[in-house]
Formats: sequence, structure tokens, C-alpha cells
Amino acid sequence: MSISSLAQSIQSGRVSAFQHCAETLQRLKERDGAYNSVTRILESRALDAARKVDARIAKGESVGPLAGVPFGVKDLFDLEGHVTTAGSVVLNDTPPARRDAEVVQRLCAAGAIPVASLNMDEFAYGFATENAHYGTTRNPHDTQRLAGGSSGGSAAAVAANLLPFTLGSDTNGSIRVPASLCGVWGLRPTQGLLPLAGVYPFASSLDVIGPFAQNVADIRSVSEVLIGHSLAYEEDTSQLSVGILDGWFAQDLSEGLKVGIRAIESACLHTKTVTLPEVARARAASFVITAAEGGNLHLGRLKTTPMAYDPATRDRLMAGALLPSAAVIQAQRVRNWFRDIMHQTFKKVDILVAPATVGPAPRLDQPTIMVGGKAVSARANLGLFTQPLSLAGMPVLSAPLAPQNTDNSALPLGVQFIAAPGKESILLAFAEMLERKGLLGFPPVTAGN
Amino acid sequence: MSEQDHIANDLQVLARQIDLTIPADCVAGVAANTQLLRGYVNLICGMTLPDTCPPAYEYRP
Repeated sequence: MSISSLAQSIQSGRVSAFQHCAETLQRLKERDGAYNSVTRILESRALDAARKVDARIAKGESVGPLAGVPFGVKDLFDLEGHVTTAGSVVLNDTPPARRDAEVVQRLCAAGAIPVASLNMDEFAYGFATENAHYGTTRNPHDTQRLAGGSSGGSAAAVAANLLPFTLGSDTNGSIRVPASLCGVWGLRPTQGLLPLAGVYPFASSLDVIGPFAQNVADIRSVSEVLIGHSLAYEEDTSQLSVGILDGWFAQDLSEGLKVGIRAIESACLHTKTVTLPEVARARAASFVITAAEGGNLHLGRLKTTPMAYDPATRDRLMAGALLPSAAVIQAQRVRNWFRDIMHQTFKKVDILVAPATVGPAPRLDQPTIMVGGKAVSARANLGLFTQPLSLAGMPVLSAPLAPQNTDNSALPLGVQFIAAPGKESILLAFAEMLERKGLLGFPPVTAGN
Repeated sequence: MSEQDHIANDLQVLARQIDLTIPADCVAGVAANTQLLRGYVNLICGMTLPDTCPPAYEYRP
């Protein structure tokens, strides 16, 4: 059932918000043990909120477009009364949040109900959701594989059909990578479009938050509430000019991704190949900015309590804190240059298409990917195709390719659709067109499969 | 002095500039990450940009 159908069923009284919420909580308790996507269940808050939704409906009130719909948030969104952990134990002694993050408030005002916080890499610094404090989140499509990260809990909870939608954050690909590996949809909106108030930062000049869901209609429903206006696109999507990114974005791809991207190209009337210049440097700039901003953010605690961090996170943050200013300023200049290139590119095309990762989820016991013929760390390199695009700040939709064989046993693969700033409506309309053609969408894991 | 000792020494010099003590157990990990970052720094610093290209501290589409 889509999110809008669920909300309509609850608003009309056919489904009780309380009953649905109680069933969702029970499902989380019964099934999440296999995935470790949840860090905290908000049982009393969720049930209280659901009772209030039912009471308002009984009085004839319109609750909102997300009436009674449960959702989860990555563990870096403030939830009133709870300490925001950001996937660490380092913040355990900080005061509980006095209010929900602004985007959580927007969802609640539309009737949605937060039911859980979700696992992540410590301080969002990784692409794996291997967390020394809260454990590794497992991929619902194969629990011997990574879910990806850093918003791995948010992606896995949707892929396992535990929650209809979740929120995550994306600095270098932390929505798009796990969405791709878990076979769900994830939107990184335009830089600066959504407020970050009450969201624990990682590298604040790159941080963006966005939703995960099982289909593009659900991404639309949630995004319209988050952004606050309709994302309808009235033009003919068949007339969109589509650029297929090659060069950097065509390296090391699995056969399934090549086939999927060719199928997308064939489904579009107006396509061309686009080669972006200096992508390796764009990725390097993103790396440097992230390391420097993250290292600076944590410098005070790295001086006093370094051993409280996950060792892998701590060593990366310390190295970032030591970067010279000349390197960081150069990275920000490269960023400006690359943005101009992207702006120029969108004068020639409406949409760019790129893979989200090089292939399917790596195994837990072999957390590497092949890049340039070498096995490299998945935790550090799964963002090969997402990091350069983060630098530019454009909206990016991560979409799961449809399974390419009939038994649905293949692992998920994801692609990125990129549009000009503020053009989320084009991304959604384009994806809906391809979803209708059967090229996009991966079935979630349910209790029976 | 070995290469590893040189790297460790460099790190401690950099760390002193920001009043950071790198615990002995962390030196190898920080050194490995610093080496990785140096590769990226060399890549971006090898790019010649016009003087009129300023840093991009915030996004203005």
C-alpha cells in the first residue's frame, strides 16, 4: 500500500492509526534482529501520537497528507527528550533534545508518526554502516552483505518493509549509496533546500537530508511535505533531454548496471553522452572538504576523549583536522569551478544519468570493491560515483533498477538521476515514467521471503 | 630514521600547531589517513584555477 493510500485509509477511519502503529512497532521488534537497522524504538511517543491522530479524525478534523504514517529517522535527527547520538557514544552526556529537528516537525505536522531511530556509521563518516558501538546493519536482500552507509539503517528498514519511509542524511552519498545497495529510492534534494536545524552535522557545507521509500510516488508524498509545495511537473517527460554520463562514471561497472543504464537510454527519445571534466579532482575536493570540516567539528573532543571514538572514525577525523588551510581553500575553489561546469551542462540537458555504485552490495566478510582493477575499502570508496556530484549541490534521485531476471534473486543495483538546482520535480516525473515502463523499482523483502 | 618515523614526526609537528596530542595507539591509523588525504590534496593542488575563481563556502544556485 502506498503512503498516500495508507494515509487516506487512516483519515477515512477504515484503518486505526493506533492499530497500525502498534503493528508497526511489533514488526520492528520481531524482524529487525536480522538486520540491526533500529537503534531505539519510540514506543510510548508513537502510541500517544497515534491515539491523538485517531481522536482528531473522530472529531472530523483533517490530520494531513501523512495521517498516521509511521517513519524512522537516522540517529542524527533530534527527537524531543532523547540524546542525539549521531551513531556514537561520545555525545552520551549531552542534554536530550528540547525539540524535534525541523524536518521531523514538518512531518509530524502532516500527521506522520516517528517510531524509531536508525543505525548509521559513527558521525556519518563511512559508506558501510559498520558501527563499533551499535553494530553492523545488514542488507535485507542478503544479510551476509553490507547495507551501505552512512544512512544504512534508514535504507534497510525500508528495504525490509519494516517502515514505509525514513529520513537520512547525505554528505558524500550517504543516502544514495545505501539506497542503491538495498534496492530502495532515496532523494538528495538541492543543497540548502531543506533546513538542517536539529540535525547533527558532519561536514556542514556538504550536508543535505532527504527521504528513503519503496517507490517514487512515496518519495513524492514525503518530499512535498518536507519541501512544502507541490513537485508536479506538467510538461511531457518524453521530450526531456537526457545525458548519459560516461568517462569516470562508466568505469568498473557491473554488467547489470551497464544493461540497466542502456535500457534507460533506450527508453528515452532524446539522449546524448556527456563527459564531465575533472571528476577525479571533484571527488578529491569533496574528500578534503569533508575531512577538514569533520575534523574541525570534533577537534575539541579529539583532544580530550579520543579513545571514546570508533578507531576508524577517530583516525580519519584526526587526519582531517591536520589538513593545511591551503588545501581546504583550494578544494573550495575547485568546488566553485565544478559547480559552474554543472550549471553549464544543465543548459544542454535536463537530466543526467549515472550509476550510484560500481555494483551490488559487498559481502560483510570481504568489505571491498574493485576500482581500476584493485580491491579497495568499501567503507571509504563506495561513494566513487556519488562524491563528485555532492560537490556541485544539485538534486540527485537514487533509483533502484528493476530485477533483471525473473526469480528476483539478483541483488539490487542503483542509478542516479541528477537535475539542475531546484528541479526535483523533473527528477520525480522522469523516474515515474521509467518506473511505469518497468525499468525501475525493486521489490522489498517481506516476512515471507 | 625510518620513513614511518618521519611520517610520525611530521604528524606530531602538525598536531602541535592545533594543540592536539595524537595517542601512540592512533599514530599508524592517522598516518595512513594522512597519506590518503595527501594524494587527494596533490590532485586538487595540481589544478590551475583563475584568480577570479573564489572559494565556494555556500551554495547559491
